[in-house]
Amino acid sequence: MLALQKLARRHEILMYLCALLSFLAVATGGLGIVMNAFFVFCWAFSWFAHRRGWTDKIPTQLWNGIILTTVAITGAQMYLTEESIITIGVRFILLLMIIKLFSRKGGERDDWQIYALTFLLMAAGTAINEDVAYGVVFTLYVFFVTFGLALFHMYTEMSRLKVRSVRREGMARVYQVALVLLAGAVLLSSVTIFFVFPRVGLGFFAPKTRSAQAMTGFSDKVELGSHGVIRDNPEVVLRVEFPEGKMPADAPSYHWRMISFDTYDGVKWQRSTKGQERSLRFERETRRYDLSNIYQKPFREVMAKSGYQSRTARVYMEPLGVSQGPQIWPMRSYILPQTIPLPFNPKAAWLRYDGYYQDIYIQQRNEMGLILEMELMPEPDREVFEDSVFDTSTQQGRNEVEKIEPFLQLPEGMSRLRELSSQVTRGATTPYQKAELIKAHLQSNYTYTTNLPPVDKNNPVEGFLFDSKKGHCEFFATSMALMLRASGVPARVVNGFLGGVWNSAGGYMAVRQGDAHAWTEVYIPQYGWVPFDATPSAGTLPLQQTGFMAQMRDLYDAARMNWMRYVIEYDLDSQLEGLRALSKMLSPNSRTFLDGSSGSQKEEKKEESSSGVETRDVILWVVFLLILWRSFRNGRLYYTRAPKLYGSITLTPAMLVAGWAIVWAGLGFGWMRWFTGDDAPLQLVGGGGPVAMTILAIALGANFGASRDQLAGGLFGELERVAMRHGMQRGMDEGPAAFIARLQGAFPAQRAALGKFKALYLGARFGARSLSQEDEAQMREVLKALRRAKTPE
Amino acid sequence: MASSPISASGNDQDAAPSSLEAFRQRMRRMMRPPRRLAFTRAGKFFMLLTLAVGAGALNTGNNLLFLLLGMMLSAIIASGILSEAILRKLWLERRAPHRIFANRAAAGSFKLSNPRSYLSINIEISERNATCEIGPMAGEEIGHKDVPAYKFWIPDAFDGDDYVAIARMPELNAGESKQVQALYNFPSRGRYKSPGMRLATRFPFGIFHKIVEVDQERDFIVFPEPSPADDWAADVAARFGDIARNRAGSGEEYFGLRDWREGEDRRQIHWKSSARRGSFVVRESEEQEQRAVEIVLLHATGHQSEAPPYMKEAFEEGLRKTVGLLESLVAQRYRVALRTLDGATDAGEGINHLDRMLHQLATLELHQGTPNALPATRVTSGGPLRNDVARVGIGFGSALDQCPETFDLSLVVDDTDKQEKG
Repeated sequence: MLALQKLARRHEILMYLCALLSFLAVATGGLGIVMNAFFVFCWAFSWFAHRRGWTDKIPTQLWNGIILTTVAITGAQMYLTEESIITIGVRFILLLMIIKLFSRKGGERDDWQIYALTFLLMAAGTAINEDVAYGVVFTLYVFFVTFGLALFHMYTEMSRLKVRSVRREGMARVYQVALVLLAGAVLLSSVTIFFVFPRVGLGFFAPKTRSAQAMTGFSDKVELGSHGVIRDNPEVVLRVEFPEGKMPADAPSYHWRMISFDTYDGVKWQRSTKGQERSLRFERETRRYDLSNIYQKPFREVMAKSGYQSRTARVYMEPLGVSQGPQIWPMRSYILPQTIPLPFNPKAAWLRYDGYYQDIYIQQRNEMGLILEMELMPEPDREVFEDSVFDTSTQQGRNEVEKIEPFLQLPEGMSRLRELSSQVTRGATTPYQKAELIKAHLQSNYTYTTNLPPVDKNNPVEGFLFDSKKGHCEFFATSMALMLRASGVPARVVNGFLGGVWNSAGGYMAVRQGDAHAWTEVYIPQYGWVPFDATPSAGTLPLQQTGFMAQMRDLYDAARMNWMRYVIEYDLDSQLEGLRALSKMLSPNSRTFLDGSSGSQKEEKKEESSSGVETRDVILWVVFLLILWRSFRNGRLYYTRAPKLYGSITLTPAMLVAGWAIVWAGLGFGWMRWFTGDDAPLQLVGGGGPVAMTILAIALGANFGASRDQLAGGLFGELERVAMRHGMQRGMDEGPAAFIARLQGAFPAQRAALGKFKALYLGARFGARSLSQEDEAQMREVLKALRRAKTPE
Repeated sequence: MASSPISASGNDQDAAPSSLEAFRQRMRRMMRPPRRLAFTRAGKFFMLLTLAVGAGALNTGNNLLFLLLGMMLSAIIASGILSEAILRKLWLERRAPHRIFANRAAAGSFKLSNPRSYLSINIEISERNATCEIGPMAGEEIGHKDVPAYKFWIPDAFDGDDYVAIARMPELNAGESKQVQALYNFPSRGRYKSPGMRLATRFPFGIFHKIVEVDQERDFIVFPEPSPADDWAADVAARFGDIARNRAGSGEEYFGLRDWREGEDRRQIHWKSSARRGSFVVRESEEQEQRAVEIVLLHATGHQSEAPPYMKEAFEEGLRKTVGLLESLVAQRYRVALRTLDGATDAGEGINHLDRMLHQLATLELHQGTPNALPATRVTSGGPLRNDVARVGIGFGSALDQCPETFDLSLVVDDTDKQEKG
């Protein structure tokens, strides 16, 4: 027996779980450890206090007094402290919840109030907890609150009825299984509504913000020796997806360039000017920023020779709080996918280029993550740079030298460095040769370490080069840049990230804060800036962690990325994208109203996705099978349908079936044409299939009598159901004949028809007769007539 | 001579509705939504919270609020779908109580059948609000008043004390029929018309009250609530006490044995005594001459002016007392006939006869003016109502005075304004 008390207890447990979950949704919202601990303690203690009846004797007035005091304190906090209003509000709701948990007398009203408070906390949680943890809490909450409210309803209804127990345990289990299914359905429906609910309204225009990550890896200045790079910081900065779904072999060596520096003052790298911001060539239709202009002509020619074998990387960039965007040398273009055809798009972003620092700037209306498609090109054969020297005989060459002069700046002193530079580069005549020599020297004679030995604070580079001979990437990059400058080659230090680790759970490469890296760019005459990484390979290998914890971390990061991408940053743009995908799926043959891409691109896409089974194919054939099945059923009507009279016109079953066959054939043809375009054989299948199925059903019709004995029972069951609708139920001791006789009494108009039904049923069920198609049709007609008959008074 | 006080107004309402009215009714039925939805008190707050979350989501564009909104809307949708599943295709019948007295619960029942293949949970069955057609509350509607959606602080009526009749069924299995008892409550006598019943459920969360209206029109005749009439009964008994008649008759008490005569029905032979005596004997019973009373109810004010409210109240009290008297007389096995200005019930006895008379009293109305012509009663069975039948007049003093007929006993209904007196 599912007793009332048991039901009450189960509901209470669920209510407490809901209270705890709603607390977890706000627990990270800056309430402080004391408040959190206090709530958890009170939450647990109230359970026992309530069980033991400790709180029963406390008068309601006292609770009201406590509530008023809480209101007063909260009001004072709002006026007197600088604390955020949300934190104060959340604390107030938590206190109310505690009071309610203690003061509840088990009445319906108290419990509803607790549920209402959990709703409020969940709502407050949306403002202070945007992490994937909220998603987990929310999922559990939906489940428990659905279950809890349903049990709560059962309980209140039963106490209202003063019923002590309602059902057998077996039924209770059925009910509980149904509730679990209900909770699941509510969750599913919540998610569906979430995705479908139009994201229009004021919220759409409000620029969204997400707290940017605190950058510990790189910054807009590099101070040598101040701190080591935190190599094990796992916070992900960029997530990179590749079309092939796996990590390209060369991806660990990708240098994600973010920012460059031109001036070194002996201790740190800085940017001496604001730079020269320029716009990039932009193709509006494809939302593509062409980068070919930023490279110099000889370099472009080299790339053209290699055939522009580009590769796409889709980069999901976390908000970093810097204006520079990632860049990989060499690149062809960026694409900023955006679809909203509105004059004002709050998600709008623009790319600009710095002609001096060669940085990419990203301007964004909001402060959310950004999706960038990068078209990467393979590195050219470096031998072409080998012999390149400044050509001062032409005006163009002289201009080039003038332009690049700031990158030859060296701080005062540095005599040992200059000496070392000339020693190392002895014999080299071109900038490229010098760079290779210096790089080789640094890589073979110095050791990479993040555990910095004490260095001379005033001249860390020489300290590294001549004393400690140990350092991290910034020392290597700085040393190389300064040594090159000392030997007359323009060079600079750039900051960014190196490589990344593959997250198999999410299918992307994660570039983390710990992958922050510094390297050198060398100016090769006529070709432009070329990156050189002097750090020994031990220091450039990304730290790919393994083991259970690393796997869990991967899983969490993948969940977090999807959470951010599909939940937190989901908006009108994403909805339109989804709508476009859907419309494409349903009308692959025609251009959708949202489709802005040109014909040639569509061809490309078709080729791209030619492998594997596609959703649209599944839809195509499932619907077509449905049409075929209906056509088959149409064929069966030939035997079961009685002739119909329309005035003086008689429609025989053959005419009806033929008419319907034409309709289904038309539908099949239309469907195939809609989906596959002008594909004649498929259209033939589409139109001919339904006709063939109809004929097949007619041809097979004679054999349907084989398993007809079961049919009689089914038809009699249907008769019982129809009778019940008229309020007549077959008695336990009433035989079929007696029952039908009773029906005949109640429905005099159907007396003859019911008599026929009885004869057919009894003959099929108890005699050796089998029901023919015509018999079945007759019996069904009787059922139909009875269904329409007026209920007897 | 006073003009005839009997107006035909009371009978007008019995006439069939005009074709225009019938058309209107049909249109009203057609326009009625198939389901009605009312918020419970918790539901009102839930809706308010949903609207607030929705406004917040649209205003801030915070996606997590949209997620929460999705959950709340889902709960509303689930409520709609599940409550519909619970209520659809159920077959409801009413077994109305046979005798209903005003202000007294009368036991009736509802029979609910579930022809579907899955069960129903938490169903509430109730009589829809009935309209009083004849009686002191004529034109008024009785039954449950829904709390308007905008009134937040009024709790839902759960106990059902304002329903005409209500019953609850915690569950009804697939293919099962069940009967539940319901107590019918009517506040005053008269004829009521109920348009049908309603099925409702708060399943699954108790935030909505989904209602399906079932059309099964029925009239209810509500008898006046009896009030003690010991003084009147004592008056009648004192005057028309039992008369002993020591002779054979059609009663039930033993009177004696006599020889069977040729030609008499053989079935009258008392075989046991015949066997003992050796000749056919017949058992005779004593004639029980029943006491017969004809109650003449003069439901007229005796004045030409319209009856003041206190008089109407006195009239109702007089009716209640008359019911008490009739009950008492029938219990004492009097043969009772009832004459009113509107009609007459012939003399008779037993509980069914009492019902006929109460039925007549249930729909009486107070007339203005002087009681004039009274319909005659007829005797159809139970022996002749002899000339010495007691004729008891009941009415206001003025009406009794003006009535041309004479009564063996006049029972005066006090029509003084008690408030004025007090």
